[in-house]
Amino acid sequence: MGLPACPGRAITPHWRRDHGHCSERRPRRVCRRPGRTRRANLIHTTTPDIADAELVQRAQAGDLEAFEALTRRYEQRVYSLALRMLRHDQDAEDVTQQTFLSAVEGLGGFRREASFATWLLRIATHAALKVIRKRQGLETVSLEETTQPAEGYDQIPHPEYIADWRHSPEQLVHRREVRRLLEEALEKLDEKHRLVFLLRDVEGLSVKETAEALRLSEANTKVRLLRARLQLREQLTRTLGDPRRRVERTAHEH
Amino acid sequence: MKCAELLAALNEYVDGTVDPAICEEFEKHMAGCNPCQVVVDNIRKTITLYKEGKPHPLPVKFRRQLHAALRQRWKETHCRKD
Repeated sequence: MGLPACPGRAITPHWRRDHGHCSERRPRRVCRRPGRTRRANLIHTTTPDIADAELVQRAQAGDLEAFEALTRRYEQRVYSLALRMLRHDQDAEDVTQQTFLSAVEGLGGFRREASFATWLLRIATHAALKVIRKRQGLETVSLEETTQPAEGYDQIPHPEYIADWRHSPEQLVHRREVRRLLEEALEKLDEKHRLVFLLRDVEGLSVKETAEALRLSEANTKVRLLRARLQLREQLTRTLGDPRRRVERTAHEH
Repeated sequence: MKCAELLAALNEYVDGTVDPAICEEFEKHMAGCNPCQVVVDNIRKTITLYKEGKPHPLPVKFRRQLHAALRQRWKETHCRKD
């Protein structure tokens, strides 16, 4: 497409903060959007060079185009998170829309002690949790640890299928069947483990930020994260591991 | 350090936040335990795959609707202030 390389930005170290909006820079997508002014297009195509903080500042000063640029930058991440949390297209759309509308309302109160991305993902998480709670109804267990005993490290299941992978993540990441495998493995996780993994490992929040967003203790967040990582490792290795380089589990018991 | 203890310190190890004393024990155990070595490598690759995976694109129709709703809400919020 002749797109310029995506510049790394120190302010947003997680790579997707730079890449999430790249595909949006294709003129095709810009043209498809109705009612855009020339100036908006200008901002749109130059947003990768503008730091979030500057766009936030402009938006806070009343610049809608700056806010739309931020929206384009993060809409895919918010939608993906919602979709993976809720596993339901319509609910994911509702949560995405709610998130950005709440962001419009709350923008004045955003004080930049967190990054804009983290702030936005936290709003999205809270909106998604509301949907989950509504689904669960009052009679079933809630996500909060107050109604659930904290998980300990003592019942962590040991790895079973241990083998070197046949390919590197770089070779695997763009394959369609691998992407499907990743989504299927996520769906098999318990909700409480999946949510922690999504925020911490997919979205790159810290353990503390993840714990706050989900209203969990950090200790519980860490145990859930470990369970999620181990379970995903187990599932992915069964498909991506090289059977010839399998290490027997019996050798592992010491 | 035993395999089970290694598992308990796995998060901190792969996230690079492990206490240096535990880190040393962790690596000593791995040096003598091939399965644990492979598990740690598997975990790292698992996390990398998910981190580097592409987000889901928004359905085109929804995207249009989202931006229209945003502009509308923006107008309402900013008119109220005036």
